Amino acid sequence: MSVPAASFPPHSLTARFAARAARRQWRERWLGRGLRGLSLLLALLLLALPLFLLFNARIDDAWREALLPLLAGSFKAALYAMLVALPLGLGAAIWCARFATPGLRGLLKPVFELFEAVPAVVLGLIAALILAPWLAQRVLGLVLLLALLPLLALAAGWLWQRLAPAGWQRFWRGREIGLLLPLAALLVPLALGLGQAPLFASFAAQLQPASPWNGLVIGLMLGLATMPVIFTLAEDALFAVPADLATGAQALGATRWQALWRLVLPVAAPGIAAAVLLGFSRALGETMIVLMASGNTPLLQVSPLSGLRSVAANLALEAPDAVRGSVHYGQLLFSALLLFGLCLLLNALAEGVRARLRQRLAGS
Amino acid sequence: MASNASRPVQRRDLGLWLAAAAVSTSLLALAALLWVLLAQSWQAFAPAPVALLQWRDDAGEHSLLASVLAQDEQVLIVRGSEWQRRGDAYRRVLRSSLVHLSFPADALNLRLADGREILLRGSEQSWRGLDPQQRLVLPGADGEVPVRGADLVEVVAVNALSGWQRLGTGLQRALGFAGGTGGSGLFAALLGTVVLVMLMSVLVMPLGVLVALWLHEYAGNDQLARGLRAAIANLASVPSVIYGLFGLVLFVHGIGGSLDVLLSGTTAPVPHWGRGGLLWSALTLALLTLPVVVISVEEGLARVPPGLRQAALALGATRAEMLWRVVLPVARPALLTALILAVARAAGEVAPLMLVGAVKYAPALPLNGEFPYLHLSQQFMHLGHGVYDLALTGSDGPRDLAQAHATALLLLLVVIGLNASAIVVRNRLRERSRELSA
Amino acid sequence: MSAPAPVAAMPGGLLDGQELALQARGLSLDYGSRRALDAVDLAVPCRRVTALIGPSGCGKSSLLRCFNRLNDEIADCRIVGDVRVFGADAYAAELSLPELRRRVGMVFQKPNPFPQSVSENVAFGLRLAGLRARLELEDRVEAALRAAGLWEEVRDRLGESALRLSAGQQQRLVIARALAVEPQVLLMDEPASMLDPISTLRFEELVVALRERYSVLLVTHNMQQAARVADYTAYMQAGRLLEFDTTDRIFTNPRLRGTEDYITGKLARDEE
Repeated sequence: MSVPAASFPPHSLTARFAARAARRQWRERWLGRGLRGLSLLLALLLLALPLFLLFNARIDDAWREALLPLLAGSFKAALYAMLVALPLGLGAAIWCARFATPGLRGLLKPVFELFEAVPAVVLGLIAALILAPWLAQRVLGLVLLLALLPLLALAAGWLWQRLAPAGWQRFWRGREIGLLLPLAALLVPLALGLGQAPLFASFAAQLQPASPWNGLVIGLMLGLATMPVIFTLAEDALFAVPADLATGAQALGATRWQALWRLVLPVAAPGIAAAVLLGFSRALGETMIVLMASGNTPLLQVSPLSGLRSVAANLALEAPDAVRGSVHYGQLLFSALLLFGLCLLLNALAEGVRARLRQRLAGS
Repeated sequence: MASNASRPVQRRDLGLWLAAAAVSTSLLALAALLWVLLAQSWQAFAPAPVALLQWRDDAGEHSLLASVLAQDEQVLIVRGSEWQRRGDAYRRVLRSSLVHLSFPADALNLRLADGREILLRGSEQSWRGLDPQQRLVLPGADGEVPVRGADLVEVVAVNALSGWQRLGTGLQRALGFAGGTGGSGLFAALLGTVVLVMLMSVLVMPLGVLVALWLHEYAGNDQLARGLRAAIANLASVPSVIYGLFGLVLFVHGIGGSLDVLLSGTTAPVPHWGRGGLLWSALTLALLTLPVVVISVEEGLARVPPGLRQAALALGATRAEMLWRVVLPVARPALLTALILAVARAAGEVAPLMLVGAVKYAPALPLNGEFPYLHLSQQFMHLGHGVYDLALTGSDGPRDLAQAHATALLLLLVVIGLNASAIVVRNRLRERSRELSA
Repeated sequence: MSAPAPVAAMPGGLLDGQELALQARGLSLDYGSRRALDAVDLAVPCRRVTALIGPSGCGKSSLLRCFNRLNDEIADCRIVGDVRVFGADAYAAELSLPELRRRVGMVFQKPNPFPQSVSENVAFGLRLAGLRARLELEDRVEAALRAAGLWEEVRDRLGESALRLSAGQQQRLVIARALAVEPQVLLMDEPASMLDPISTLRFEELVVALRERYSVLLVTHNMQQAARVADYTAYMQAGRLLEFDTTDRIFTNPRLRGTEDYITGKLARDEE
């Protein structure tokens, strides 16, 4: 191959580069400085936010009466929500990360991710207008449903493993929810109908909530809203555990569940703990669902059948009309500061345990 | 693996059925939520059958032409003609008092521009194609109601509709509702939401991208960078209502209040900037979405193959030129993802807006033909806030509640659509970066 | 810094009287606590091809990247010693880094065209110089592509994405991109290791042709390649430059046992 003698245009580029050198250097230097300055400004702004709250917050003698029911309400809502979100979120995460077929996982994961994006006001609307009045008549049915669902799952699993032909079992392996979904759907009207049976009428009467907008409704809807948060984080943690760890154990004769319980869960435990902490933090600060469906009664009551009022919902209700500089305003800011601090604390804890998970995974 | 399945019953494997039950329950709940939303939204627009009712009570015998909205064994909930104003004609009728109930085929439902519905019997053709200027007199129950032809929005012979026609009428009404400018339309809320989110994007995108650039390309591990990273990570965990409070205290009262004093000299009795408004809301949402933007832009920058950076530097590009000409263009899908995620997050947020400027009813649009066209200090209407308002403080009972669900459905579709497109864009980005580095 | 020494301390006055493009003296380089180069002395003559051979991880690439200071991008990299490009200190405080890198072009192991059109890739460096006139840009792009022996293949595909070229074409495109900014030296870091045999052959012909105008420092794992294209060859091992001589002598009569072992394949070679 012959390469023609290079025929560059006569005048060289050196002069052109030299002419621009100063300008390019100036740009280079000022871009770096400008970006740094911008970041510094942002950092100051972020620092100013909590400080502004702090300087304007005020505590007086009455804060105990004003704030305690709100704090209790926040915790009540978050705790009831966790009762729903934890089993659902962690169960779904375990299933998706370790048992589902890859195709099924690829389907379920985006569904739950999109679920996480559903605006809270939409969930609050359904909770307040549809779920609350509907549930007021069916508390017993719901209790029955929640009790029967896991029993149904266990019974179905046991029968399936005992009776189904091996070929079927192999086909449905990793797709078991396809079997369970219609069963669960059938159980819903069954349990609810049972709850309204005349036989249990006296029992049902005792479970009649004082108001349709109560802790039970909040627990259910806030729990559903928190479930995808816990699911996403826990699923990531569980999926990150190398697959050969479990496969190896199964080769030694452990069942899929044993491999998960003994090997995978301990490794992923910090990630799951972080998921729980962040889920709790989310439930604590969630506003719209609680605001719309809790009745907003600032009373200290533990019962799930009574209403509540949370710090966050109280802020949304009262802050728009609070007179700037008044005692009330100061109190509101103080409650916000408290909520802010709690969430930061939970976040810091979650970050701490997550760092441990990363160490563990890097080590294994 | 397969031998595992053919082994006899393993009772210890039952736990996984519990996990499967969790997935099933969640999916069922999700499906139920969607179903409720769809069904309730349909109620807002479905043409309700018009019944001719006759009943007797202590006051005597009554006769009424009314839409049947709901019924059970004991009662009917109906709405008669709204002669006076929208929402004034609801009525409960005991089934036991009914003398006569029929659904006449010639019943007409007339909708007026202000949202009222009038029920009549007559021929559809005679009401269609009226001259807009023509004045009519509707034979009202309490006298006669004057109406112009132009006020007549819709004439439907409700009871004569086939299934498909009902669906068509419902969808037409839904579209009219989504774009409607009148008292019950969503146009103002939709426009408010769009303007707010666009303003927020204009604020957060440059800031987020520049800060992400600095953090990822310049900062290394110095103290400011570490602090900023920690602050942004923590910011992501702060409840959204707290952002609203930040906005209220810092932007509305702090900056806005000072602006008022600065501009008018004294503390104005009616605050202009020192109250919730479009700008403050956009700033608050920008703060709220900043972590989303910074984190996904940083992820995108990290995915730019190092070979491209080195190639640019080796050709004599300065760092700034490398970023501008190579890194940012390659990371463009990541910027798009960041924008979509931020918009999706912002479009669904309501709690902070309640504190910094969204209102139930704003007299003017935030964007209109009057100078300065974009009214930054004005309060505005918002989809999500509209859902809250319609649901809890609506004045028109069933109709407002049904419309709250329809509004919620629209909001949900917007947010889910944005998120889904973000997922698609991100997947494509990952494929492309794999291609580039392969 | 002392005045530039005309000739590096090379055995037997090998490069006496030759103009030197690159020089390194007493050059040591550490990545954190790991020493990658240990007191390396090297001189690269003008308008010749110098090959750098040695086992994997011996510091060839690190040495290469000292001449265009691409090592500066690595956070914990420390450099001690004297590096000169045409006699000028490459690590002088007042030196313009972009200008240094323009004059010392580099070709990487993996072809790394930008995800842009073929002509935009070649014009990248020209745009940095502020060239905007379309005709001049087109002329210079064509000249660079001709010099890299790619013009005939891509003259009809200038607007196409560079990523759609074959690997061999991409590598020559990358060379054209480097040539377009009129460098004096070309550093090549195992540029043919990802190419098929035919592309490799074409590439080697190109390197020989480039010798007429440019000084080339070529890192390679392929002994035959070094023997075919290089005028001089340096052998490195464990961060030290052990032997430097004309290619003929290195391959026929190396002074050191280690060099011979490596060349004859007794020392594990890592062909990729």
